Parts: sequence; structure tokens; C-alpha cells
Amino acid sequence: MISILNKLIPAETNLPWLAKVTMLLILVLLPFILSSYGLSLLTKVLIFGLFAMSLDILVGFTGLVSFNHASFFGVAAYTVGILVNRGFENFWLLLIPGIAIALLLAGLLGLLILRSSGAYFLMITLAFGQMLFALAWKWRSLTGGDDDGLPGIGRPEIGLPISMWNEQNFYFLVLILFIGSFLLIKKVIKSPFGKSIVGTRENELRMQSLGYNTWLIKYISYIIAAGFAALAGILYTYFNGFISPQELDWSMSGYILLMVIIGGAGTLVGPVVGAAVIIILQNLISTYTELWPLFMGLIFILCVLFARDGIVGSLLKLYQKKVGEMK
Amino acid sequence: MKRKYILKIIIILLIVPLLFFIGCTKNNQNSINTVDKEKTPAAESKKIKVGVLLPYTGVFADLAENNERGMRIAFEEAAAENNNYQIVMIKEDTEATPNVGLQKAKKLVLSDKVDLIIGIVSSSVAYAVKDFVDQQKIPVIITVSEARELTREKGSPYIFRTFLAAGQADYPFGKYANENLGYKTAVIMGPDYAAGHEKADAFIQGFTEAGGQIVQEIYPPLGSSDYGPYLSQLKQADFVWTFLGGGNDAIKFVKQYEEYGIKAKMPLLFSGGGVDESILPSIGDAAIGIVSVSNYSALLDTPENKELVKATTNKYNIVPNQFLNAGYVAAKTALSAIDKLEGNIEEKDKFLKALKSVEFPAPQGLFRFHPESQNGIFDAYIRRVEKLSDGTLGNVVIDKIPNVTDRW
Repeated sequence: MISILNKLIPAETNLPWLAKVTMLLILVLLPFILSSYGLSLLTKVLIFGLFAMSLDILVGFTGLVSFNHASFFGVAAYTVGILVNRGFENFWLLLIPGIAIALLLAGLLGLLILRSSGAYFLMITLAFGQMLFALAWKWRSLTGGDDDGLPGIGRPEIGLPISMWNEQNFYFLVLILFIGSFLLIKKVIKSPFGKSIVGTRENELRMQSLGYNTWLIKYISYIIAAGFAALAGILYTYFNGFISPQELDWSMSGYILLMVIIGGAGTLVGPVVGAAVIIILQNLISTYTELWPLFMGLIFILCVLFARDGIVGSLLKLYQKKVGEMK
Repeated sequence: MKRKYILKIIIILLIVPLLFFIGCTKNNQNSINTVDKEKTPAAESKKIKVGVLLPYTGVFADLAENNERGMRIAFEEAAAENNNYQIVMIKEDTEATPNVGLQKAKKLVLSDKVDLIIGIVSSSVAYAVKDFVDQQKIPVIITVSEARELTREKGSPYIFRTFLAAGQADYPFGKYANENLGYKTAVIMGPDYAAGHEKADAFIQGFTEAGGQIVQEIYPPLGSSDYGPYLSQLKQADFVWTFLGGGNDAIKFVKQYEEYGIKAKMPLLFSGGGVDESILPSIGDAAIGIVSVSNYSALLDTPENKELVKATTNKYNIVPNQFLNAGYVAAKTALSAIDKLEGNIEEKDKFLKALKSVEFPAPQGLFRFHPESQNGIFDAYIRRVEKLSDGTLGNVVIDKIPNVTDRW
């Protein structure tokens, strides 16, 4: 059983260690080469990469296409934003309520949402996502509503004599949390629990007959995914120094879903690549033409035609084929 | 298999020319060098980069375009006059969403190194950008965004506005409706969002302070497709005040207002863009007789406005409107401060000071900022839609309330 499941998880872990070290080195060295605007884009890519990775736990590994992932992102962002505006400063302490509220919310919503599957799952997640969006929009006294938003959040206070207003320092904070989360998610995916998630995706009935509680498996993975989305949301709050209800909107969930699909669902690295491609392209193209949505659309069509498994997914397949041929 | 290949080839054939098209349009779309190339400016003339931050896609696209037209006219006028510097406009699309707006502001400031930013229509974008421009010390001249707090408690020394703040003209207009037009009772009808409420509140305050009475308040959601249900519940009063900013909303509303036969019973008073020159042709005769307040009318009889009308008709074949004028005045404001420093815009403190003390004849009259709020001081023009001698509709100025500020 386990050996079959191993095959179902794409073999990105089999990449040579040299490739991994190079990637890490690039991420560490890039801020010294890039312009300050490039650095701000790169920081955004990492934050959204983390966000997309967390959604990948659901979409890629658990096989649940969720349309309210932005809720956890946004709720955590608002929690931290509101607390900062009330005078709480320590970043590490603020992480606790931010993530806890998202976990709690996921625990509650999961009870309701996971009763359905397929298209109904998608619709009910959309419904709950929009409800929270409306709440943020209308609850003006707490969230500032749509017009004002929640400005003036500034940068995190991490308890060290390092100023996070320096873009490079902030980038490294994001990078450390990003890599930590990446390793953690990977650990979860490779654990027996991770295998059971994939098993549930592939054949829920069979897993049930093997004695697994598949509902609980999905429930836990939903909560885990929410936790990492919350971390991304908190970082994004500090990155922008500002939150608006837009961060909870379904379009945000859709945006992240696109990143996962373009990069390659179920690969973990893929969503990060997807985030990079979408954010950088969108910023580049919209600088040149007002018709940028047209070109983004064309790129998506291209991806669907030529890279069904996403960019990373397709490359991995190619790589595996090559390795297989060599053997 | 063959079919699949053909499909792929077709797609490639489609995409290659499109990419080529992006490459070609780069220079026209992005940086607009407003200096006439044939005149070859003095070799040492320096470049001043102006970031134009507007919602080119989405509901405000039309408004953004008019803003940009105004700026372009002003910058071209300046380019024809002097050779000390040349203005380069760098356009970015905010999509009217705050996080995109902020990202684009970062791009303009950090990557393009713009000297100042002009534009911004949505208040949410303005608030999102505020902390960043504060920190980077980049002056921003807001062309449209009306949120009152932007030039009050939540203001910033770097934020200026060359447009009416929400309530700025509505408060005196409320007083005017009672004192000069002699109305005693009013029905208030505004779109249900922040700016709608801010304007309605200001009008109500003015109207009631003068002694008027509010009979009814209705707030339909923004973008309603049918105003019938709201119109049928209107109570009888001396008039109906409204502010339906978006073009389509106003067109539907004004037409239905006449179709329901209410126009004959209760006159309509408009604040702001509802009977703007840009949409008057679409509303048609249903608009005749509507009284509105604005800081601009294309029919204003000043030499500066006549020039603007001439330039706009020549270049774009339209009559200027308040949003075009707003862009024009914002650009003129920047130019007048730049001229004062003879182009040395790098001296930020001096530039801020120059901006603050700007004074020049604008199409709507003498333009200057309120020294504390950094919001423009305007004459509020009371205008009535009438059929002009050439058969088109226009906002005829019937009165004016001089020197309204955003601090009342």
C-alpha cells in the first residue's frame, strides 16, 4: 500500500541535492542583486508562495478544491492588524492569536463544509468565504470597511535590534519563515498521515475499508492548510502595512488557486513557481499595456494546452522520463 | 494527432504577433514624452518623471481616461512653452483595488523612480498608498478620490487633492437649497457606500442647519439595475437630492425618474458627477432642468476654460468634463510648483512648500490649496442642465457659492 502511495506523490524529493542548494543560494543572494522594487516583488512572491503551498495541501494532496482559502489568510491578517493598531507589538506573540483564530475558524467551518464533496464542496466553501468577506466589508467599526481598510500597521517588531523597515531584513524574515513552513509541510506530507491524505484523494472508499477515518483525515488537513494560510496572511499584512476586505474575497482564493494549478498541484514547489510566474508576469505586462488581462488569459490557455500538470508537474514528468530512459 | 498539432500551431501564430504588439506599444503606452520631438529641446533639459496611478480597468475606466486626457493636455501645453525640463508620464493601472494600487505605487517609486504621483480614484487605494508614500517622501496629487478623512485626521504632508472632498460642496449646497432655492422639505437618496453616505450627511447637515427638514432617506445599493422599487416609495417633498456617481447608475436613474412622472412633481438636485458632460448625451432630454453642484462646468466663462474647451475638442473631439478638468488642474498644480523651482524637483522640502503655496488661474477660477488640509479651495457652481443653441445639452451656471473649503 505504502509503496503504491509513494508513487502517487511526485518525486520532487528525488531532485539532486545540488539543485536544492543552488535554489537556496539563489534565494539568499537575490536580495543583494535586485533593485528595491525587485526585492519587494520577490518578498510578495514568497508570501504568496507560502499561501499557495498551503492551498496545495488541500488541492494537490487531499484533492479538495477549496474556494475560501483566502478566509484564513484574511482573518489572520485582520486579527494581527487590529491587535497592532491597539498597541500590541511583539511579532512572535502576535503570531499566536493570528494563527489560532484561523485554526479555530477552520475547525468550525470544516465541520460544516466537509460534509459535502465535489462541486458542492466548492460551492459551500465559496458561500462561507463570501460571508466572511461581507463581514469584513460591513463591520466598519472593527475592520475599517471597504473604503478605509486598516492602514498604519507598519513592520513587525521581532525583539531583536534589527529594523524590519529595511526591506532586506524583512525579506530574510519572510524567507526564514517560508523555508521553515516548507520543511514542515513537507514533513507532514511525507509522514504516514501525509500518505493517508493522498490515499484518501485517490480512493476514499478503499481507505475506509482499510480502516481509516477519511473524514477526520480531510478535516485535519483542512485545518493544517488554514494554519499556513494564516501565517502567509500575517506576513502579507506586515508587507503591505495595510489590509482591506479584498484580501478575503473569492477572487483572492481564485488567484491562489490559479497559482497552484499553473505551478503544478501536488508538487509543493509548483505553487511557489506558480506564484512567481503569475505575480511577476502580471506586474510586467500591466506596465506595458492596458490589455494585460488578455495576455494573462493567453498564458493560462498555453499552460492548459502544453503543461497539463502545471509547470513543475510537467517538468518533473519529463525529468522522470529522462531518468527512466537512462536506466 | 494531426489535429492537435494544427491547434497548437494556430495558437502560436496568434500569440507571436500579440507579443510583438506588446513590444511595439511599449513606448507609446508607457512613457509619454510630451516634448515635441521636432523641436529638439535643449540638450541639457532634464527629465521629470510623473507616475500616473489610475484605475484603467474596471468600473472607473472611463473616469481614469478623462483624468489622463486632462493631464496630457496640461503637460503638452507646458512642453510647448519651455525647454528647461521634459515631463515623462509613466502610467500604472490600479484596477481600483488597494493591494494592486499599493504594488503599483511601489513599482512607480522604487523601480521607475518617479518624482511625484498624480491620480488615484478609489479612496481605498488612497489609504493603502498613504503610508508608503509618507515613508518614501513622494508627493501625491489626488485627482478624484473624495474620502473626507484623507485631508483631515488621516491626512499626510505628502498628500494633496485638487478635487472636491466629499461634502465640501454638498454642505453649502444644502444651505443654498433652503436659503436661496426656498425649499423646505427634502428626500435624500444616495448610493449605499462610504462616499455616498459622507456626501448625504454633509448635505443633510447643511440643509437642516439652515432650517430645512428631511422627510425620507433612501440608500439603494451601488450599481442597482432598476431604481423603480426605490422611486415608487418616495414620499412627497419639495425636492429629491441625490448623488449617483457612476455613469450607468446616473443614466438609468435620471431616465426612470422622468418615466415614473416624479420629475414633474419634485425637482431633482444632484451632487457631483450625475449630470456630468461625459454622460449628458446618453441621458438625453430627461436631464433638462436638473440642478447640480460642482466645481466645474464646460460652459464656464473664463479665458482658461475657453482654452481647455478648445484643446479638448481639437484633440479628443469631446466637451471637457469635471474629471478631465480635475486631471488638468492636478497636472497644472504640479507644473506650477516645478516651474517655481525651475525644475529642481529633487529638493523635496522646497517642492512640498512650492506645492502648498501654488496659485494659478485654473479653468474654474483661481486655484489654491487650503493651508492646513492641502485640499483645493473652490467656488461651488450651481448649474442647471439646459438645451444649448447648438442642440446639445450643457450645464449652465446659474449661481456660485464662493470659496468653499473642506473644513466647514
